[in-house]
Amino acid sequence: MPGEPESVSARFSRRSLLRSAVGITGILAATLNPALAQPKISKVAVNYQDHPDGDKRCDKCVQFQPPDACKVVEGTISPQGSCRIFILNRA
Amino acid sequence: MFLGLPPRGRVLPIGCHRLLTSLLLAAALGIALLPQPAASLPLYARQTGQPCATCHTAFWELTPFGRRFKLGGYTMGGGDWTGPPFAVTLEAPTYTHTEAGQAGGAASHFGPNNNFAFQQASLFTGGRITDNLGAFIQGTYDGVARRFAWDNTDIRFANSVNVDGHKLLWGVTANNNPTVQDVWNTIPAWSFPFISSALAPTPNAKTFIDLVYAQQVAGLTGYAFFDDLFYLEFGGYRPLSNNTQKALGISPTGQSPISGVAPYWRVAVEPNFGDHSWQVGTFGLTSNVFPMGLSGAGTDSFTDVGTDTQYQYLGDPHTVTARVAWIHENHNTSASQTLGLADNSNNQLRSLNASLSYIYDKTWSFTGGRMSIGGTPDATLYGTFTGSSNSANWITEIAYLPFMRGGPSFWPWLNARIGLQWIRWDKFDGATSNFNGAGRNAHANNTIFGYVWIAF
Repeated sequence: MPGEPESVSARFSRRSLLRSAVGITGILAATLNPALAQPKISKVAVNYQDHPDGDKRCDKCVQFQPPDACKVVEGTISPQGSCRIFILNRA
Repeated sequence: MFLGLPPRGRVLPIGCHRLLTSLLLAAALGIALLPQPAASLPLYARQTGQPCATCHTAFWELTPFGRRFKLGGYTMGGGDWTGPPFAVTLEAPTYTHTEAGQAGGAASHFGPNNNFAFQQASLFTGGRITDNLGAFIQGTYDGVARRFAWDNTDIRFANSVNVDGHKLLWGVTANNNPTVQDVWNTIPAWSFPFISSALAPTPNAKTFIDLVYAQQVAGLTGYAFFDDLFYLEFGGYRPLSNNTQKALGISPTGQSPISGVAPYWRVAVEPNFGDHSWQVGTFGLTSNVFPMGLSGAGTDSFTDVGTDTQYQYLGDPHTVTARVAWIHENHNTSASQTLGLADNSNNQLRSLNASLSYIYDKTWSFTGGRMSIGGTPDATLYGTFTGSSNSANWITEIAYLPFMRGGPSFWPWLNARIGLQWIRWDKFDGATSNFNGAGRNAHANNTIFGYVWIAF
């Protein structure tokens, strides 16, 4: 279009798009290392404490993984601990 | 909030860049082609097994947990959902009343005042793809403009490593809207108000970083979150070609495309202590642009620099959030002046967005805020009758969120926000009275906006 800058009027071809897409997908796939650890949330971000908060205790939470871990919070977790995201395990 | 509609009276981009455009498309392709574990890609609440209140004080404002979930690449698990990786939000019905009607109708197919609207329907997909790759991908049907388009997209790779006893969470995000990748609710893409009427008047002037390039660009930024405290991000954005935008449902008409790469940066510190979370930071975007897509006079340039702070008290049942963001824009408009699109060769804008929310029992949200924008007068650039870019309002909102801890038994992932918002304009497009030359006063734009916002 008249008046448009070159970068505006430029069009990438389907071939170049497909080539780039395949290349980048390959890079992404190659980068994905299943051994990398899934990020967990820090204790400070959930206000974790080593003591219960009333009836809320980590060993009553759905996220607790005996004996001393959590599915979503990093580090060693006390069964007697508590945090802001407690969800009662009704099972 | 979701659909980045071009603001009135401001110039927006076109253009193309093979690599960045391809990156977003390729990543989307990758998501489709890569083998998925049985439980992959349920959206976030279902994926993590957490209720909405874990990540949001009141949606869409994030908690410290929500911010880290996003920085971690949307990959955290914990839930047992094995269904399809989709979510839907509906902004319907909505009701918009302005103190005086808008001549000619609030929009095509709508009357001058007291309009009910099915404002938006959004479809989301994404979530965890692998342990380190995740996505937030949104498509939106705009019920006012009556069109479907791609919306906010954020695809990221993240990993956490130990560096000499210190935790480093790092990642790369490919996204289509400067600030959409951010995790604090002070920055334009996610700031209060979280929902606005599409049928209410808005000022002509706004800073470039305030969603002007939303969905019109492809960007790649890298970030690092050190010791759960210091955040640093840097990257750049390139415009999408006209054809690509049209294919994605975006109209390129009237845009001012970025020339080259527009650098974007973000620095923040977020100490958390007990029930308190406090953040202070700065962010910015700078670029050369072709005004209205015209290259005959060279380029304009702009530099937007923002400073922001957010404080959250995350108690039970009381939650408080205070947010302040201030943006300064220096806009060299020499090319626009040559083309007759601006009166001055240089302009400045300053915007303020400050708000305070109190949320009771994760259910009732009360918010008050102040928004203002102003700077050098330029009648041609801003398209105002007064020549001034100055506007300011007070905004208050009450919202009821019945399902933040989980939906009803028949659909536990249902969430809803039912709200009433009131906006009082002190000044609009440079004046308190007769701002448009036809006798309309700023108060005539005072708006009452009622909405039902559903997510499932």
